[in-house]
Amino acid sequence: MAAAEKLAGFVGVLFFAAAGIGWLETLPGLRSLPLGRGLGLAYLLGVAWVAGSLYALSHFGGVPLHRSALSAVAALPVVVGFVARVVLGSAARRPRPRRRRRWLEAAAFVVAAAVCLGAVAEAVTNPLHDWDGRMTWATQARYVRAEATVDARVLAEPQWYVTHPQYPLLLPVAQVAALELTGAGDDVHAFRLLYVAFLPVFLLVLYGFPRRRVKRRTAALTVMAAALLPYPAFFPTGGAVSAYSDLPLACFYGAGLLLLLRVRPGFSDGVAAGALLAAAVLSKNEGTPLALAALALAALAGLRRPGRLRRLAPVGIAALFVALAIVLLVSWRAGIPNRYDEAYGSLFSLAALWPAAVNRLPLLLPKIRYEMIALDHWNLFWSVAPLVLLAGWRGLGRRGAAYLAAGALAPLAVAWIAYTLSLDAAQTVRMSWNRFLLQASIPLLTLFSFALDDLLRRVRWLRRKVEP
Amino acid sequence: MLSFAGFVFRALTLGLFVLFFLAALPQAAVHVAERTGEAIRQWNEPPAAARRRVLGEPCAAAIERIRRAVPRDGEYLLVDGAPPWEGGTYWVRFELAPRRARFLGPWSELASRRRRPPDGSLVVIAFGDGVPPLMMDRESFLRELDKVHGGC
Repeated sequence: MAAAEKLAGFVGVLFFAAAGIGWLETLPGLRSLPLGRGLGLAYLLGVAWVAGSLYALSHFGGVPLHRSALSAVAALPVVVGFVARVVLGSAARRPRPRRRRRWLEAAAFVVAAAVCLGAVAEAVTNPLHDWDGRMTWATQARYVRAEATVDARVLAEPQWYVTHPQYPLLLPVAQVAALELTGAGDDVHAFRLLYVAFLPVFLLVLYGFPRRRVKRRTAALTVMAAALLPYPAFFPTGGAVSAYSDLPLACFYGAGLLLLLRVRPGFSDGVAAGALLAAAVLSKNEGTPLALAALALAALAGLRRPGRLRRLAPVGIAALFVALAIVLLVSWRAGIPNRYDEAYGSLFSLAALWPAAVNRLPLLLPKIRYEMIALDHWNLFWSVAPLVLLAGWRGLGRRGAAYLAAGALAPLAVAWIAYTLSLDAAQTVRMSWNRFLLQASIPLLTLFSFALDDLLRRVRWLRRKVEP
Repeated sequence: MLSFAGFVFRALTLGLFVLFFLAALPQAAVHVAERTGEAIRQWNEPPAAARRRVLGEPCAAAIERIRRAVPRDGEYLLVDGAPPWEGGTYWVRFELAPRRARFLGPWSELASRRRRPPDGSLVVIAFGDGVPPLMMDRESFLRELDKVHGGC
């Protein structure tokens, strides 16, 4: 019985993935993705669709968040996807030459699988025990589930003690869906697998999307390095084993950005990126500025290439999804009085930003450096990565690299604004820098892979060992 | 000369990258082994038993008593009996959710105020992680406050 309850969490993960696969079947430009990349994208699309739709239906339509509603929401893309597969036929994957798996790719797969297994083991064994998960995200999920609505009384009435009541509810709604689906009680911690599943997705996105631009050995080394980073996998305040929303946001934002920055983005990329960036808006406060930054960067990239109208169309489609998500968020928040919150929005002003944005540098840079070099956060990675970027600098001249760099800076810029406004900036750095760095990690690690690829290309004696 | 310097720099960088793997692999192996071992040992542990193991028996028992006393759609008054950085009210509120909490404030501030707390049937005083919360009815809580105020 206990083992069955532990396995219930996998049902939730499969449920979201199935919905995402259904939608992928309807997107001609993405239905022929290789299996791994497709599954990663499917999970993100599934969470975005199921939780985002339930959020909207609950708020605008008053639809109760019960099993019937979530079953209907999840079944729709499965049915549509099945029809699409029948009508369009199986996805015609590009013929790939038979190749043997090189040891480096096999090693990367083994390391990544082992790390993911460790995170899964933690999630099915122990109840939630992290700070933000208990303070905000999972508590909000319990309130929403009990009242079967995102417009819960306990959020809307100011006398109730709720921390960050205006935090977007995509992940709590996904948690509710996962628990309602299996009829599990609130104390069943199998819902933690919902969060852990973002770790393999993170690694699949890192391997799959830059794969067209770098050699397989480079992609494998990048994924292996990412899998070995302690923070994204095992850190209790922000990693996959927690119920923080930073890793999901990193995946939604990073994958959405990469889709829009593809060499020739099409309609399917626009739709998928739009869904992911909309999910980013509904995941965390930072999601809105990050989604807007991704759209702006993609628009800029499209403007600078020939065939502007064709290149800007996917950005326009994505912008529509983001706009709808922002409308939902603003409408939902309008009914919730903010309290027990830092309220950075109310502190924001040009006078508050300047000159504090510069004056706080000497205080905060050493603290940021500490967070990045602490072994139990990132091991030696951020000490080595700048050297790799320098040594492989020619790789940073690849198409799209400048936009990726800007995309990586966006979360860090949001962080810096928060630190400038914060009343206790040093404490805020300690609590949040790594989480903002995690949000930036997909574009950052993609840039890293570009530089590493150039570096490896120039080391002929190593190439012979790695690729006999 | 520059070409040689570039070669040395690239070789050094790759060497440090390998060093990162040599340092990170054992660290990750320890994480994975600890968690996988615990999952195997606890594979048949029900969620309730896992909560008792993680919270501690006294804390889990106290939470259960409060859950029985306050219905799921009910409400309670919450007091912070520990320093705010311990987050005691967050953990208790999470364990008691979806019961609605009305926060009265830190005990230290209540003890210095003369204003009587609002009506409510039960008061829960939260402490740090792992310390059992206290539950008392409003009258008992007011008597405790009066003791601190010197009975005035």
